[in-house]
Amino acid sequence: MFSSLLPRPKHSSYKAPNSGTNQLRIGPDSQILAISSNSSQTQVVTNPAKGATIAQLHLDADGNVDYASTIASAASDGVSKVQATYEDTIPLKTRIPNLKHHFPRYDLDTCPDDSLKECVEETRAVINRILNDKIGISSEKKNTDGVTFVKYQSNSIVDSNHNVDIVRENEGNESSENGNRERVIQIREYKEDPMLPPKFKLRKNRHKNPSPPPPILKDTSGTEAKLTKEDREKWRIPAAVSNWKNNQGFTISLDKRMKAASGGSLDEGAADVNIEKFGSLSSALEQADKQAREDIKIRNEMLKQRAITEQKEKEAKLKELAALSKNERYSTKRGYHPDQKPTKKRDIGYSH
Amino acid sequence: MESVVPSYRAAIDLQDDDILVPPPDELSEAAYTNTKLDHIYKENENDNEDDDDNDNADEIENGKQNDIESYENYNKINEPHDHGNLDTYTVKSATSSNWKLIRVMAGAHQGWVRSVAVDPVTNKWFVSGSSDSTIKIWDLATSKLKATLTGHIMGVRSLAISKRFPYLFSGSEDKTVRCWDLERTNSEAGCQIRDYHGHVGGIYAMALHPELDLLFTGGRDAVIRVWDIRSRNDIMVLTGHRSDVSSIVSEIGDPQVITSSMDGTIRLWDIRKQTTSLAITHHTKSIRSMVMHPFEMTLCSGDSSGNLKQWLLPGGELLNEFGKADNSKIINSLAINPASNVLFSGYDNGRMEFYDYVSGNLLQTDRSTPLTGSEESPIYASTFDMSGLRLITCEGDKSIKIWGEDK
Repeated sequence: MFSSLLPRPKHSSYKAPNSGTNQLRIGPDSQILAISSNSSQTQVVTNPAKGATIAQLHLDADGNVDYASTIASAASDGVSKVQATYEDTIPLKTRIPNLKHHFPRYDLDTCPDDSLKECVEETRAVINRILNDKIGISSEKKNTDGVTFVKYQSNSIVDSNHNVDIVRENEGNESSENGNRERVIQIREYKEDPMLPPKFKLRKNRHKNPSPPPPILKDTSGTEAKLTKEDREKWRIPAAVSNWKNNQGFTISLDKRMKAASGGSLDEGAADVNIEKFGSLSSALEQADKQAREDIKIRNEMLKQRAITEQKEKEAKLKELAALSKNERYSTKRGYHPDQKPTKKRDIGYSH
Repeated sequence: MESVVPSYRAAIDLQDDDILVPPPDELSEAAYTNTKLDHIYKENENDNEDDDDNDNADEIENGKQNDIESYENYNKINEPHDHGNLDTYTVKSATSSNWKLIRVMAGAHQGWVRSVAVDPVTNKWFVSGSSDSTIKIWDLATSKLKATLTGHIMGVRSLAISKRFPYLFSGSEDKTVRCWDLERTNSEAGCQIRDYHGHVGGIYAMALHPELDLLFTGGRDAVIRVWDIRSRNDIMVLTGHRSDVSSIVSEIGDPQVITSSMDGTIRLWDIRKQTTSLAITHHTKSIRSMVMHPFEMTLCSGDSSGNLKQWLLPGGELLNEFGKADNSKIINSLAINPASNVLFSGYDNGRMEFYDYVSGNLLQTDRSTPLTGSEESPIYASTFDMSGLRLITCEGDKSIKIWGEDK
């Protein structure tokens, strides 16, 4: 609606049509169809700006800078044209609304003129030339002996190279005019033994020093909230303690064990360990142990005593028996026991 | 706007100089809508429809004819071709399309299927190359596997079938280009007859020159190498791109090679001088796909924000632009139907769109359903067969899908 109030885009070559140009647009030399700038009217001036990268400016017929051809001329790689105008950004179909979509592509057979054939032939020639150079088949033969002559005119010639023989012509004449001496240099190719070992060492690609690590950029504006204690606690990772595995056999304190039993999450577990009661328990255990040992000792003593008394009783019995038997033997010698036959028989045997 | 149009009509009809309404600033309006003077012509068309016997309208009609003719004259000057022969090729414009999934070749490969090419001579088979480093040759009609070519040691990213030799060329992420003789696919020794070494990065795109024995390859190392097919030597290296070369197109006349790159530029090359003749920098995001129309001097490129742009050769002028831009719409693959002039664009999230190539109207939107086991199936490569009856899409769910038009 209010677009007519807006200024014209900066570098546009397009002019807003008025009633006069309206008529012109319909004709063959229409405004819309000025797609290619007519190069005949361009003018080249040196860039007035100091130290500009583009040295020469191309002006069109009206004296405005023709950016497309200026950029194209400044490009080093032989670019003949660039698309740099506002016009180039608008599709042809919008520029020319009733443009017939008819852009046939011809091949060599259907092309009405020879342009394609020429293009192909030229390309083929270029390709063949490059290919021959690469393979080593040169079309024109070089001078067989490999000798070329160069005319040289200077005061100082460095003749350190063995390959170059300096042939001086008319030595007498040249020495007279020693300012500008003319020389013909014969350049001969030096034949090298192809079987010689390489002159230069082949080195591996060495790594350069790596680039420094990228700087870590912190937000120093302070907008971010400071790390709270809960957050820090959340990030704290507890030590890994297991109640089931302890391959190295470390002593693990009780609170760690408690924590491990609760899956590492129980933090107030340390307070739950009742050290006093644990202490009394352990002392009670110790006392019980001592008591038990005492009891065992006493019992063993009693057993020992009993064994000794038993031994003594046995010995007394044996002694009694021995005394009895001794008395009996004495009595039989005196015939004190006549009913005892075995002793009688034995006596018969003895008395043969 | 209502006040603008009648003033124009008055200017045209009466040739009046004293118009009370000031002339609108067409250009700044155009800067916002990116269109120019459309409404004038639309108005004229309406005029013609209203009263055909109007003399002025006829005049305007003639004027428009003049415009078009003179544009063709302009083409004549710049192009080496003649536009006089209008009977040879008639431009079809698709009005509707209804492409439907016909066949899913599930598990066609062990990895992503990244490249496809249809035999241009017989139209009876097609090849697909995959991230599982194999190339498979399939029958187009029955979808049966005809041969498997092994030899690459990394994923196969580009394929090209020669029209003049029984050769298949493949470029891979393992930095080699290989040439396969298709007449020996079943031989014991394998059918690889040549390989072309020289690239220092994976090869993402390749094209064959239609007349000369030249192979153009490009990829990760941002250069285009030109090989002579017969001699395995690289003839030239075209440098200029700042990032991966994503697609290469070759034609007979100048510019013989057109390349698109992930740095968002399209370059037209003059291979006789080995220089860029024009670098097109209209795309703002990286270009993953660019295709040339088989019968027209036009090509179409799609960038990773969903913009499609049509270019006119040999000058490289912007012919048309369409496609709704959206950051999620990364165009992975483009294909042009030679028969019905439908442009297919396959996206990185499995989205499919069909456009009318002539007008740029969106005809159909679809989505490729991924096979079980994959969440999304990006469309990595697509092509129409030579008759334009089938669309082959190669996807990230390791399948090849074949689509046909439901009449």
